[in-house]
Formats: sequence, C-alpha cells, structure tokens
Amino acid sequence: MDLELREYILMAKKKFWIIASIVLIGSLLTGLASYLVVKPKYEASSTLFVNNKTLEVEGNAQSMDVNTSIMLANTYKEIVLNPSLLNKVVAQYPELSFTREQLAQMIKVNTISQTPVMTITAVHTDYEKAVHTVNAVSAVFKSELPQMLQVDNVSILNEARVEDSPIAVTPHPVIQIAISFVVLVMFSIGLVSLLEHLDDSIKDEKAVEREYGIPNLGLIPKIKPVKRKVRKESKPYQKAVGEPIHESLGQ
Amino acid sequence: MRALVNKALAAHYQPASPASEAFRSLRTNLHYYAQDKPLQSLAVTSVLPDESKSTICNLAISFAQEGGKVLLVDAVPRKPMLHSLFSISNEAGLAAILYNGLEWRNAVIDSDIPNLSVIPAGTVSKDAVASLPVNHIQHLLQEAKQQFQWILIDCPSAVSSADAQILSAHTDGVLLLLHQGKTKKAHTSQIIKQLNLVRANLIGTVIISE
Repeated sequence: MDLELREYILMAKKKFWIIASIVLIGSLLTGLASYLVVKPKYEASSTLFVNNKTLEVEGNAQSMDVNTSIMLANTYKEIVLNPSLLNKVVAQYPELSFTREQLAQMIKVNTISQTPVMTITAVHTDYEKAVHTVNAVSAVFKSELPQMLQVDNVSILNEARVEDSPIAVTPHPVIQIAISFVVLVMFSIGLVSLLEHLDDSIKDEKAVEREYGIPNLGLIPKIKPVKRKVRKESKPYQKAVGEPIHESLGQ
Repeated sequence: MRALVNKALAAHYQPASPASEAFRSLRTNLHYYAQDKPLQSLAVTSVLPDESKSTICNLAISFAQEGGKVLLVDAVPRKPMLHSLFSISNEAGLAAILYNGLEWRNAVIDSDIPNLSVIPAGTVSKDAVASLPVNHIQHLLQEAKQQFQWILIDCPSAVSSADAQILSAHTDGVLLLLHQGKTKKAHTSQIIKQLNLVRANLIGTVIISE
C-alpha cells in the first residue's frame, strides 16, 4: 500500500513522541560523548624547507633551483613516512615510547603547493608529546637524508614549540551533534514508518469503509467505568391499611 | 464481573455518556437502513473472539429505550455471558430450543430493563458438535418477529466458529464489530469473505475504540 505524503505526516504526528525522544536522547548522548568522553587530540607542526642548489656551471654562484626544489619536496613527502626512517626515530628517541606503526598513524606530511615548503604534523591527545614527536621526526629526517639520498638540502624552518597554545583538532562536538541529529531524525522516521507498515490492525473508520466497501455505522467510544450507586430501582412507597400518610416537602 | 456489567449496560446506567450517545446514533443509522429494507433480526458478530457482548447489550437497551420490544438471544454456547449480565437463569436457553425441542417462548425471560427480554444460551453437553439446525432457527426468527420489534443475536466470532456464518445467513442483517487498534485487517477480510459466501446481508461495521 502506498503511503501518500499526507499520511506520512499524519503518521509522524501520531508517533511524534517516539521520534522526538529518539532524536533528543541520541543527540544528547552524542553531545555528552563529544564533550566529556572523547579525549581531544592536539596537533603540532613543524615546517621544513627544501633548498636544492644547482650545480656549479661555469663558475656561477650557486642559486636555488626552485622548480626542482618543489618537485623534491613532493618526493620527500613520501620519504618521511618511510618505515626505515620511522624506525630510526623510534631508535633515537626512546623516550617517546611509540612504535613505528604508532608514529606512522600520528604523522602527516604536506607540501604547500607550488612551494618547496613541507609541513610535518603530529596529532596526539597529549600536546607535549605531539610537539616532541614532530620535532624528533623533523630532526631525524634532516639528518638521515644525506645518508639515504646523498643530498643535504632540507632545513628546518620552524619547530613545534611546547609553549604554543594547543589547538584541539578532534573531536568537533557541534558538527557531530548536528550530524547525529540529522541521522537520528531520518532513522526514527524510518523506524516509525516500518512500525506503521507492519501494524495491520484497524485504525480509523474511513480506511475501513474504503477498504471493504461496507459502510461504517458507528464508532463507539470507550465506556468509562462509573461507580454505580443503586442497582435496583427504589421500591415504591407502600402503605399498609390504616397507616397515616406523611407528606414531606421536597428535600 | 461488575466492571463488565457496568460496561455492558452503560446505555442503561449512564444514559448521558458519550458511549450511550454513540449507541443511539448507531440505532438511528439502523432505522434509516430499515426504511429501505425490512430489518428486524440482526446478527452481531465481532472479528475478535468473544468481544461482542457489551456492544450488543447496549444496542439492545438503546432499542428498548425507544419503546419497541427487543429480544436478545445468546448464541455463544461455549462462553455464555448474557444471562450473568442480566442476572437471569441459564437453565433453559437456546440450546434447549435448538436441540431438545423446547418451545422458544418458554425460554424467554424478561430482564429488569423495560421492553428487553433475553433468551440465554442454555447449557450444551460437551460432545454436542452438531451444527445449528437451520429450520429451528428460521422457525424461531419467524415467530419471534410477531412478538418483538427487534431481535438481536449475539454470535461468536466467525474466526472461531461457523455458527456466525449460519446465523448470519438467516437474519435480516449482520453487524460486524471491529476493535480499533486490535482487530487485524487480515482477519476482517477473511470474515467478510465468509459472510459474503453465505450471502449474508452485511449492513455495516461498528468500530469500538478502546
């Protein structure tokens, strides 16, 4: 049976309290989880610069080859996350107590497009740790690069500093609440639709008439129980012969 | 039990209630129907098993309150209730009329409510599975129509027993009771089909809201 839009709205109105309670409680839970339960993660970044110098040609002074630097930066992006490099970080900085896999998860490398500038970012619930981690990776990368590629053209522009105020990156409570609100509304409407579809009991008289072609002759409302005071009707006043009749005015 | 009596006789004890009003309106609709086609005997059956008692009692009372003589017949042998609702004896009833040759007038008991008389279900022996003797029913209805303006027969649900079908085939009309929020559409369709099979005159439905 197809439900028209009007019937959807009527149905939503009837079961409104189900929808409202699901949405409210769900959003509330999401909000609580977002604000209270989930530990915020912080981000620390360092900036690196690729400075590729051209080969000396005919005694000209060395100048930076920007285009190559840019391409190198994009290449180096991949190298930072190379497992052997990360292993070296783990080895040289045991106080961080991260495994290689953990490091790989925490670290992100990006280049600023059209520039030979790279940023290394670490995300962790402990801001200090994020700072130390990102600086460690930057330092190791700079020092290991000559060994790996026989070039030494990376300089650290900017280290992450512990004194900087940490920025929480995740979670985003407002966004999460908004998303969960929308999802819950859709879900609860779907649930209510399903319940209505499955419910095949008689609901209203118009549907009955329409469906069976038989007129509806009446709708009997609920009979409210009332304490009955008198079961039998009072017996009529009976006089015996000779008894005087007492007339009394109405009470 | 008391609650059930209250409910079944609401038209008598709470005549001003919305329910009693609804019964009067149902009564009026039946009168309108009766203008076109003769309508004196009504079978009342519900889709849900054993749920027609209070409705048929109240309807009978509504008719009785108009002044016409009403005969209420309890045709639910397995769960006879009408005699308790009206505080009458169940000794001689419909069962005796149909199976023991009792003269029907001897089973009619006047209730406390003016113009309303009742034929209780009577007692049926457990192994009586014979189907209703049609000629006795027809005879009963024909003769009762001379004496009563309205004959209402409380039938069991057609889902559980074929009696409703048989009785419906012989009354002037059938009322089908549906309970809001409880009666299933599938059962309703099935019962309507069954009634149509015996060419019962299904006048209409009555919806009981709970």
